[in-house]
Order: sequence, then C-alpha cells, then structure tokens
Amino acid sequence: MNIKADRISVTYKNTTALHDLSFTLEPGKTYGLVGRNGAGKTTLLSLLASFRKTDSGRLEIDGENPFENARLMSEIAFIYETDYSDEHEPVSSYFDFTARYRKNFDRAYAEKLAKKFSLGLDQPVHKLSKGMQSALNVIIGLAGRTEITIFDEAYSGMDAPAREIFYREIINEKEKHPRTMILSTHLVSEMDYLFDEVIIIHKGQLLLQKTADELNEQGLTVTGNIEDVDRFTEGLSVLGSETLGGTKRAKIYGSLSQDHLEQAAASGLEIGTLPLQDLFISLTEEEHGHEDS
Amino acid sequence: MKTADWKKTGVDLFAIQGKWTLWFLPIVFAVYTGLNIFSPAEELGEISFLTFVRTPANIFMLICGIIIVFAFLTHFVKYGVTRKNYFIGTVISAAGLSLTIMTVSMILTGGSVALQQVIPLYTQVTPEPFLNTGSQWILPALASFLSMLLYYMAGWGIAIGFYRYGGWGGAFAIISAVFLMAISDILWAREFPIPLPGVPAVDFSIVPVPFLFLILMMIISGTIWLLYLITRTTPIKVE
Repeated sequence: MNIKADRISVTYKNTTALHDLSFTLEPGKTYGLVGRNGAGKTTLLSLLASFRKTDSGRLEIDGENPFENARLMSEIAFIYETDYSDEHEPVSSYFDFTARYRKNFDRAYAEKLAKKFSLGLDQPVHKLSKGMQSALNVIIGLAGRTEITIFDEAYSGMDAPAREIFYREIINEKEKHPRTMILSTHLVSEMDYLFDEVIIIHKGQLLLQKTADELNEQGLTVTGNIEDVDRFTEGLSVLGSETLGGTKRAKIYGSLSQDHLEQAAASGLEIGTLPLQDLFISLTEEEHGHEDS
Repeated sequence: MKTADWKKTGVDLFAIQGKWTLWFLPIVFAVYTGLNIFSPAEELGEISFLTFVRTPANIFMLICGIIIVFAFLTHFVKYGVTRKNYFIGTVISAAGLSLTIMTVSMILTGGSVALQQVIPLYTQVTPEPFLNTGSQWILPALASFLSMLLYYMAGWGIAIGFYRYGGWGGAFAIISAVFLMAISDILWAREFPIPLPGVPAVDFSIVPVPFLFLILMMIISGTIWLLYLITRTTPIKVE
C-alpha cells in the first residue's frame, strides 16, 4: 500500500503539531521515523492509523483517505505503549481478539514469539512487567501481519536482549512477509541497520527523507589536522565539529565531489560515515551548523 | 475472515456486557428477595420484580454506556474497527442487553408470582397494570426496554463528552444526560415528581400512552443520531 501525504497539518488548540508535511512511502519498505520529543511523530502515526483526521492537506493510503476507511483500517496496525493496568484478561485472550479482527494473524507465530519472550499465555496482562507488556504489544504487531505495521516506541520498555529478539524478528518478517513497517524510535543507534529509509521530523516539519544508502553517502565525518579540515570544509554544510589537541573531526552533510575526495586524500584527511544518531542530533539541535561544541 | 464489521463488534460488545449482567441480575434479585423476606414495609411485598428492577437496571445501563466508551472505543479502533461500526455495534449490544434484562426480569417475575403459591416469600406480588392500560406485561416491559436504552445513551453521551471535549464538554454532557433521563422519568410518571417553583403543574395523564411511546422513541432516535455525529469524527487517544 502506497502512502502519500501532501501538505498535511494538525493543530492542537494553539500548538501546531504538524505543519505542511509532504512525503511518500512505498510498499514493502521499513521506515525509521526519527524525531525529538514533541516533534510530531505520534501525531503523524495517528493520522496513518485513522486515529484522527488531518486539519488540512491530503493523506492517501492506496489512493484513499484512511480516516474511517474500514478496508484500510483493517490493514493498518498501530502498536504503541499501552496502559494495561486495568486489564485482567490473560495474554491468550488478546491473541483470540487479534485473530478475530486481523485476518492474517498467525497464531502459531504469535505463540512461538511468546515463548521466545518468555511470555506465559495464561498470565493476566495487568500482572505482566512493563517489558513483558511491551513484548505482548510487539507480538500482536508482528503476528498480525497487516500490510502497514506501525511501531511507535512500542519496545522502549523491553530490556536489551528482548529488543534484540524483536530486531531479529523484524528482519525475518521483512524477508518472509514483506510489508510496510514504520518504526518510530529514540533508540536510533540501535536500530538504524533495520531501516531502508529514514524520515526525520522536527517541530512538526519534515527535515529529511533519505534511503539508508543516501544517508551513508551524505552524512560524513572529516578528521585530520585543524587547518586542513577547515580548508576542506569551506563551502560545505558543516553540522558541527569536535577538536582534540591538533585534530579536528567535522560532521558534514551533503555529497562530496571527486575533487573533494582527491583533496582529502592529498591532505591526509580521513573521510568516515556519520552515524544516523549523530546526524539526527546535529540536525535537530536548536542551533546547528556552528563550529565546535 | 472478512473485514471487521458492526455485526462482529455488536456480538463482542454484547458478550462483554452480558458477563456484567450475569452479576447484576442475580444480585438485584437477591436484594429483592431479601427485602421481601426481611423488610417490615408491607408495600414492598406488593412490588413485582419487573417494577423493582426498573431503577437499578436504568442505572446499570447508564454505567455500561459510560464504560463502553472509556474502556473499549480506543481498543476496537486500534484493532481496525471504524468508529461507525463500533457505534452501530454498541447500539445493537445495548438493545440486546435491554432485551435480555427485560426478558430475564419477566421470567423472574413470573417465577416469583408462581412461587408465591408454594412458598410465602413473595407475599402478594402481581405485576401492576401499566399506566391504567390494563397491560401487566407487554407495555411495562416495553417501557423498561426504552428507558434502559435511553439511560445507556445518556451514559454514552457523558463518556463521549469527556473523551472528546474534556472537562467542560463532559460537564455539559452530564447536564444534558440528566435532562434526558428526567424527561424519560417525567413521561412515565406522567407528572413532575417534584413541583418546580413558578412552573405550573403539568398533567401528562391526558397524553395517550401510545403517544408517550412515540415521543420516547423519537427522543432515543434523535439522541442516537446526535451521538453518532459526535462519535464518528472523535480523535482516538493514544493511551
């Protein structure tokens, strides 16, 4: 299912949550949605899941408006941290309910995952630890096999080994049951290898949408002698830099020409890839582009 | 399996609330029986269960209407059910619930009337003729059914008022719901239970009974339509 947003905006009372956001998501890809707290990630995902309407602009999934669209809603799962404190039903009844409302739900797979996460099927949900409740959420998302599966920080309660299981399952699912997955996260350094494409939003606006390959080519570091680095980065988009003794490491954003690469080699400068986490931090800092931090 | 729809939602919501009813009705019947045995008030022994259950059933339906929004609206939409299908499913489940409570109450009333021949638990209970119509079963049951439905919608209105519009919206919804429930009670009582200062006493007894049913059905239909309009565009909370 193709997702197309054209200048969509959402305003809560006096606060603009999303402003003129436009993007296209292709079917079958895994997208990383990255943004700081309050950037508008959950609002954007709420629109995709038909939890709310856009105030302006046009949102289309498979050529149709997803709001109150029974066909689309049955194929979109929005998984987020849920408050289960009043839920006394056992885990198995959540699987029953999912099986009833998600036509592609794979119960055998869900039970296999429950075993991997050491989640007892008879346990009342309100008695589960936060990590186990998160595991239940991601199991429902993974085994539901909806055409669009959205995970909004659904894994933040899980410990590192459980998150690792989840990441491996994302990769397996991508291979065996390709579908559009959107992973919204703060754990950028941990999850960047999962993304085919990355969307960074900041203050309700789209800052960047690039494939993982493009980011590897365009988010770069240049390390070397201070003067050489300064000379090299003149005219380039510098996101920030660090100095240690006579050595400087500058973070740059943009493609390097062949001339630049030759100049770097001649000056003994080392060109590296800027990790997505660093790029995200640099791009969303209140004042970026200045030297030294 | 086909797309989640109102039928499936209606069945599921009826099953959920049906479990609560399995607790509610035996408790009310036990209280009724206990009062018949132990209460010194003689007039209590003359009230049939069908009459006795009316007020508790209305309150039960009001609470169900409130819970069904706060506890399940987000949950069902999260699983791909549209607000429209959820709303239709809820109305069906409410009608089913009212019908079940009314039918079980009639059976229990019949049972207690039959039992009074054998065991003197329910001394003189006989269903009262409804609004001087002579109807002891059908019209009182129908009136209870409509009252329960209206109280359920009042509960839904209060809940959706708070859910969608917050504190002030909720407060306004409570006032509207109280007004709605009062209209129903006044129509059945056929008079203002408490005279309002400055308001001349209105005697509704001249209103023909079929007309009362018609008015109530119109009020319920209008309320359902208004609640649907509010619900169909309600933003769902991520919680």
